[in-house]
Amino acid sequence: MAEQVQDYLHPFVKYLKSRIESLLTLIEFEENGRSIEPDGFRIKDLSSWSFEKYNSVFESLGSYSSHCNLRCKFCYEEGNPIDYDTTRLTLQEAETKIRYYRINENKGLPIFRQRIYKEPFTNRELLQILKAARVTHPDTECLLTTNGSLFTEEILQHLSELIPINLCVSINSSDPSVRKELMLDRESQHSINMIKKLRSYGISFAGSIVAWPEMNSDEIVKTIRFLDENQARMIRISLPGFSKYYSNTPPFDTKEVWSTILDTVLPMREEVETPILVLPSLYHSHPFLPEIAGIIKNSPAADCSLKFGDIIKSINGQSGSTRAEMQEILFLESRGGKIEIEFERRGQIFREVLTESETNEPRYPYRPAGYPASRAHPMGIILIDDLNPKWITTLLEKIAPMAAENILLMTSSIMEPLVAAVFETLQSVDNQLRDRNVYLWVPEHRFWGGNIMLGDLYTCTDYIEGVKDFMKNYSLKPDLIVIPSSFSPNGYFDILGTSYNDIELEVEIPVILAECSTITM
Amino acid sequence: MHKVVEPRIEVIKNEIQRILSLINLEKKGRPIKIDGFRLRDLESWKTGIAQNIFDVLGPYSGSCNAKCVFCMERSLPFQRDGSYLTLKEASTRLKYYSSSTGKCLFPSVRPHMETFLNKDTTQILKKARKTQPEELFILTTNGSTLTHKIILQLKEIKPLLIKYSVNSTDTSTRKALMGLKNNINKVLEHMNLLKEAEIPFTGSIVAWPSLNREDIERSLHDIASCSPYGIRIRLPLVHNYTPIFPQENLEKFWGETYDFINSIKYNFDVPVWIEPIQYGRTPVIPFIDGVIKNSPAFMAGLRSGDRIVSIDDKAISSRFEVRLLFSSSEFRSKDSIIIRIQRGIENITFRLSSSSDEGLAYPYNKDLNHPGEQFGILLLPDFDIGFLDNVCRLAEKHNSKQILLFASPLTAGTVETLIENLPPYKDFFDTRDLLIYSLSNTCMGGNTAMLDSRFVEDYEQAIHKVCQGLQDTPDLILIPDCFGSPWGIDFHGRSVFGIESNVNIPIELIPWHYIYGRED
Repeated sequence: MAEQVQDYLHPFVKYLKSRIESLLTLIEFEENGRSIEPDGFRIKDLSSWSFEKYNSVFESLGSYSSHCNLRCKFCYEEGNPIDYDTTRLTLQEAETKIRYYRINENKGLPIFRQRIYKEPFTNRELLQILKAARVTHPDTECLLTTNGSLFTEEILQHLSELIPINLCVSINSSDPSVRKELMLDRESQHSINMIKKLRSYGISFAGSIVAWPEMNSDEIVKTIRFLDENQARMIRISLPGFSKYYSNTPPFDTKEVWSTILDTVLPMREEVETPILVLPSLYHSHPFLPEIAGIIKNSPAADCSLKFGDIIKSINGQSGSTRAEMQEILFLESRGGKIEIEFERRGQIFREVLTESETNEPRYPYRPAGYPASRAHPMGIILIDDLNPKWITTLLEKIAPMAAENILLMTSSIMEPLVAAVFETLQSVDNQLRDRNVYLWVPEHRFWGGNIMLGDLYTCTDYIEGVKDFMKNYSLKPDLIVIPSSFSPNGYFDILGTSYNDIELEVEIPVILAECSTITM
Repeated sequence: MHKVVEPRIEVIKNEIQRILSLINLEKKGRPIKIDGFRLRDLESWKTGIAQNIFDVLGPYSGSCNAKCVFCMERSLPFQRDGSYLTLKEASTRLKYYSSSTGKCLFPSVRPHMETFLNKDTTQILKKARKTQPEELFILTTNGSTLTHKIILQLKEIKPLLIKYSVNSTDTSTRKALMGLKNNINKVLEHMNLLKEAEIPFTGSIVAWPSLNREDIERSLHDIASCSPYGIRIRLPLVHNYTPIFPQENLEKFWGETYDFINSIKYNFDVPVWIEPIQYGRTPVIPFIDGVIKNSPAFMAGLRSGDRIVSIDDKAISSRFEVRLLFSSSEFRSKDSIIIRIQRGIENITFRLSSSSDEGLAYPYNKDLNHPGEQFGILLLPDFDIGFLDNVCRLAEKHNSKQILLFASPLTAGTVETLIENLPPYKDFFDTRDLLIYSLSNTCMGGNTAMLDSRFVEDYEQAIHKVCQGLQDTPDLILIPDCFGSPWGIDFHGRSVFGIESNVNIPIELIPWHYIYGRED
């Protein structure tokens, strides 16, 4: 199987395209008796194509633009060999997607052709697009990730009329000269000024910093303080990553750099109130523990002086043993607008009652005027996404009727210890397994290379090579291969458009998917 | 769209329709309204095998302007392709025909209707003539649109043989039979023009029950007086959809008509024969079917009914053998032959020469290249013993012990007699059971059971019936390949090979001595 870098098309569209192309090798089409060579096609009955699940209409729009006005030194899209669509979302396309979005089922048109996610404000029609979606979806939160360099007061004014909008602003540094150096933003001072103004326009935002080794610790600390002062909803610090396309040789020693960053950033959680999240969170957080990662300012949780590091014991009397379970309880119980929370701090148990205020009094940044109560972080409590042991018990239920004895479960370097822990500690998993053997394997990241630790970026070829490596290593041919579904944006194809079924064809061992979610960035 | 013979085109069409139900194709952002498609790389679509130009081109016209009471194509319950062969299609078909291998494009599905309704027919023939300079082209017409001008054009395209549907030389009788207004003088004038242009023609009469014998006899006289190549009398075939179904007992009518024609045919100095050719004729034995007027055989005094004993010292045992000999290029280059015949108890030897100018004249032409005639000796198609060799080959291929062979009642007896009397076949079938089955019920009804059926359901029903009555079910089924489709697809779009998977018995199509199958 040759690794082919190709257009990323929706599999159904790709299928139609391949059928048409194969027909065109046999026949020529005619229009009014004259030969005609089609160069494209348009789907007829779009209403029957609204089958893709989304969280909101905004998500269904996909990327607004595959262009960026800046050149960040750490850009992970640099050298990306995948031939993505390089266009911007047009108002016409957006209107079609909005028209066919079925709000009751949260289903919309699939992404027919994948655009890479880049700077949304390079799309001149962005505000019109947002407005069009806002008309039919007045209360839905819209997430926009931006470098902030194209903000003007006029744009901020427009955005304030389109709330609820949650911005994620790549600030990287609050020092104009450092920002300019890092992001090639010539108007860095203006950008930073605009970020400062977000509060006055009542637009909630998270600040994002890629902790690139060139930035020294002081710079990071200063930027964190800046974001705290300017009432960011939360601060996201990304541990620096690179693919082999970024550079042939590793630009830095990952372990060393990451540990320095963590030493700098994690203590800041004591100093500033704004939640600080370091990504990938699973790299440093305690797995399974229902530990609070941060509390959004001005939230019901902040009112009751909950803070990061508190361990949730129960909510409304319901307790869960893992973070994933506790998160589910939190989501469900918060819907009533009031929870009684029991938590542990330094060995002591405390109890608090959190209440979502019923007045529309603005509570920036938690819930500015016109924003609904947060669905992602109920009551302002942030829990880091975690491996959900349910994924594994569901997988084992799926395997139960199968005859497999030796099961190879693919995982990633970041998840592997967590998955292993589930198998070692959970009695129910052991009961389900009986005398089957489960082998965990972390395939090498051959396609992306670099210091990538996540499984979400594996390609099918990576998995094929991984299976071969495993067999060489263990001198054992497994009879079932399990791949986490998170590698595929649509449940079939990897980012190169290869179906996971190709793995089975190549290694001649049945392959099934384990349902799980991707690691939220 | 009409059913296309080549099933893969149907598959492509279905695929296109499926895709177009989901999408609209575009060119430069403009939607395209697809209303057809054409095949690329026709070279790889040469799935047909042709024996003559008619196989390559198919019928020239799928429509007719006459309304003959005896027409088998009228009122059919399935759609037929009424289009004309265009010059463009004909050019393409000619371009992709290799006469050396016989390979050609898949056949067309037009029924064989009135040739000269197609305005391009003469152009097409001209083109075909360029590729096949010597082959005899046979054309069938009711004459209604034939003109002096067309005949002059045809003169340039010889060798030709025109089959002229006369039916009656009485204007009002002809009109009642064919629904054509033309005065009969026009028909006779055509025949004279053809004579002037030296284009031989055969006159054709369908002996419809409403015709009385005086009418047939007078028509025979009138046609014979125009020096035809021959005259054929067709026994009527009817089916459930025949607009005016005759009340007569057709079986009896066939017999009486046969006897009547035989009683008068020797009154004419041109060949007169009855079709289906298999009806009543002694098969295999090489009796001469007719002697062309003004031919060497005619001049020498050969007669219809003479049995050929030898030609140029080569002993002759079957009619098919003679036809094979006639079509060999070696034989065709001969100027003279010695032929020995048996007439009654006499053996007579004739020397025939085509080079002597003595009396040789129209309608005879030594360069006509008729597949069944040389020196004026006419032998109409017959059962090829090679068909039996093929049956044996297939029985061996399938290691079959119980063979079910479908054959029309007009050929079944011939097969039985041949196997009974020829030692190699008798021996072969000593150890095998061969059941020869003639259909008695057909979905088309009438007396179509006389033909080899072109409908899959007829065979399917018969097979179920036969299998019920047999202790050992057949292990091989042989069906005459008369569907006009190498895939055995009938007018309903069903393939005969579909039966194979239903009954789990192998099915083979076999070349056969078809009843009204080909133009000859």
